[in-house]
Amino acid sequence: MKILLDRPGNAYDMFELISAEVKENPLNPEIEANKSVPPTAEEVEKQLAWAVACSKLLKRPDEPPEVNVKFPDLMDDLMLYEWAGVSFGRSEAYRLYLSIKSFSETLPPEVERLRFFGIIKTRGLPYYIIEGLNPDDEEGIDEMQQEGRSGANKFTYWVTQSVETNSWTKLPNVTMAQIVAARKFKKYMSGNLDAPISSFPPFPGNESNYLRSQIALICGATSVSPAGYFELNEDDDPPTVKLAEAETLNETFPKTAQELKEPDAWVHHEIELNALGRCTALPEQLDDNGDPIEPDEPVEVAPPLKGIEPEQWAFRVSPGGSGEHPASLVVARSLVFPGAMAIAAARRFVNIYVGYGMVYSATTYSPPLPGALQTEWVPGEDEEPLVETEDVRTDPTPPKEEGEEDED
Amino acid sequence: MELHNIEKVSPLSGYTLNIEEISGLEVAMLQRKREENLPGKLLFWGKIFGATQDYLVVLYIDSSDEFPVKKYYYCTTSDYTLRAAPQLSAEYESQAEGITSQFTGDPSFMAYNGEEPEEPADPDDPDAPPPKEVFREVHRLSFIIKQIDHDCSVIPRGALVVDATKKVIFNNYYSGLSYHTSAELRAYYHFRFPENPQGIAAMKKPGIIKADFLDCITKDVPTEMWTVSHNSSGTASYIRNLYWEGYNFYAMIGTSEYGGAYFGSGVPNLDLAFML
Repeated sequence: MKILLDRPGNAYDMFELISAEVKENPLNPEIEANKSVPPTAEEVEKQLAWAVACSKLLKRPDEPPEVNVKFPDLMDDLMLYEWAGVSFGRSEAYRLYLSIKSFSETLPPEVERLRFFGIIKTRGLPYYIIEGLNPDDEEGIDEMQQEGRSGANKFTYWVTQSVETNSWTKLPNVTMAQIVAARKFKKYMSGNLDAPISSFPPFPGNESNYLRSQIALICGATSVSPAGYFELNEDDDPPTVKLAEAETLNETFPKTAQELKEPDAWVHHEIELNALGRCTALPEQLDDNGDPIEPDEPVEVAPPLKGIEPEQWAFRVSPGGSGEHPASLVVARSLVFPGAMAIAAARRFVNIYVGYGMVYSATTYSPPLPGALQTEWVPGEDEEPLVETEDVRTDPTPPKEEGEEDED
Repeated sequence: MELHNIEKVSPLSGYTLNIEEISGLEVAMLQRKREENLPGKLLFWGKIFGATQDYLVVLYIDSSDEFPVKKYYYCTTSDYTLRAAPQLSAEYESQAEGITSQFTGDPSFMAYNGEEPEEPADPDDPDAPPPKEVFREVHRLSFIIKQIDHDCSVIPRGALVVDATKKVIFNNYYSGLSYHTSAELRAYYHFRFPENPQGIAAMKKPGIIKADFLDCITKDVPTEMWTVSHNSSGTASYIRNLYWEGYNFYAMIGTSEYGGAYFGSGVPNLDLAFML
C-alpha cells in the first residue's frame, strides 16, 4: 500500500524494508512505516516554555525604555563575524541581541556600554558572555590580592546559558591568586556556575571564579585593535587608554586591507596580565619606618597600547583572492588562545571569542609535581641539639582510702 | 553534512563558512561531480585551520559497495579546486602520526624536521629536476582527515540498515530520533565499517538488520569525550567530541535531517584526560 502511495524509485528494494517494518507491527499493519510518534509531555513542555520565553523577548514594549547603557549592535557585528567564519545561527543571534538589549535597560549608567565578549563552551551548555565597565568598586579589598577598577577588574562580566530566559548572572571580581592558579592547569568547565573545580594545584574558587579568570586572561591577551583607534591619555598617571579624538580618527581611518594585514598595524588596547596576575604595579609596601620595601624580584607590568607579537596572530583577508578590495575586512586569529579573533574593516573593529577558554600549548600538559617534603629540623653549627625534657613521673598508686576499696 | 545546512550546526560550534567559501565550494563540488562522473553524494566534511590559509574538505560517499565507501577531496581557501586527498603508505602514516604542530596552510610544505623549505622550481628551466616525492602537508592532511572521520563520524540509530542482500544502505524510511532517544549517547553510532565482533556477526544474520551492527559511540574510551545536548528549543540534538575539538553533529528530532562537520585545527586534544 505504501509503495503504491509513495512510488519510490527502487520499489523492489524498498519492498523488503517496508515488509520488515510491517512485520514488526503485526497488530496494526496499516500504520505507515514512518508515522510520527506523538510528542511526550516533557518535550511539549520544554518546547512550549522556550516558545513562550522567546515571544516575551520579541514582544514590543508598551513604552520606549530609557537608554542608560549602550547595547552592542549585534546585527551589524554579525556581518563581521560571518566573514571570519563565526556564527551562532542567525535567528539565535537575533534573540541574543534582544536579550542583551533588554538586559541593558536594567543596568546602572556607570556600565556605559555593553560588549558581546563571545561564548565559552563547556561540557554542558555554553556560556554567552557580555562585558561592561564595572559599575561598583568592591569595598574593603586588599590591594595586594586583588585589583580594583583601575586594574584587572575594570570590566565586569555577565553570563547566561539560555538566551531566551533573559537572566544574566554577574560574575564575581577576579583576584590575583585566581589568575595565577588558572594558568597552571586546564580543565573543561561543566556548565554549572557553582560547580567546584577539582584541579592540581587547587583553584581558589568555583566554576564562576574559574570562568572569570579565563575571561580575564583571554581579554588581556587578545584584545587588539587597529593602531590609532585608541590613544594614551597623558593626563592620567600612569597613562590610561582612551578612544582617540574624532578628528584623529577621521585622519587615520578608513584603513585599507593591505595596511591592516601587517602585524604592526595592530595594538593591544587592554593591558595583558603579568605573571602575578595584575595589570597595574603592586602598591608600595611600607615597612615600620615608613620606607618603601623593594620586592626581591619586581614583576614588570605591560605598557599600555603595546604592539602585538606577530607570531601570535594569523591574518586573513576576507573576501580574499579575486574578491579582495581595499575595504575588505581583515581577520586576526589568535594562535595563543585559539578561538579569539579580532576583525577590522575600514573604520570598525570587533573582538570575539568562540572556544573552550583554553590556551594553546605546543607541548602536552603534564601536571606539576607535588612540592618537596619538608626536612627534619637540624641544629645549626653552634647551636646545641634539642634535648627532650624528662618526663614528669608521678606515683600512680592512689592514696590509701579509709573505708571501702574501689574495685576497678 | 549538506553544504546548505551548515548554519544548523552553528549554534553549537560557533563556526560557519563565509559567503566566499560557500560560493567557492558550491562551484568546486559541482565541477568535481561532473568531471569524475560521481554518482554518489558530495557532502561538506569540514574546515581545518592553517596559519596562512585554511583547508576545506569535502566527502564523497559511494553507496555501490557492501558498505558505503568514503573518499575525501580538499581545497584551500585561496584556490577552490577540489583535489583528491592522496592515499598514504604505511611509512607516511607513521610519519604523520608523529607531527603535533599546527597546519601551515601550504599543501606542499615539507620542512617538518627543521629542514630548509625547498626552493620553488623554476618552470622555465628544462634541467630542473621534478619535485621529489617527500612527505608533505597534504599527506598529513589526508591522514588527519581519515583519523578524524574514523573517530568522529556520527550517524543516528536507524539511518543505516543492512538490507536482505547484505548490503549496507541508507534507510530511505528513516524517520528520525524521538525526543528521549536523541538525548542519549546510545542512539548514535560511528559511520564506519564496524570494528566490534558482535556487530560484524550481527551483519551476517539473515533478513534486514535495522540497528546495532555499527559501533556505538558509547563504546569509545573515554566515553566522556562525547557530549550530547538539546538545543534551547528542544527541536534538535547536538553531539560534540572533546578529543577532536571542533567536531559537531546535529540531528533534528522527529525528522530524518542530520549532519556533522569538523571545524578545527586538525590537532587532537591530547590533554583530554587531564581536562575532564
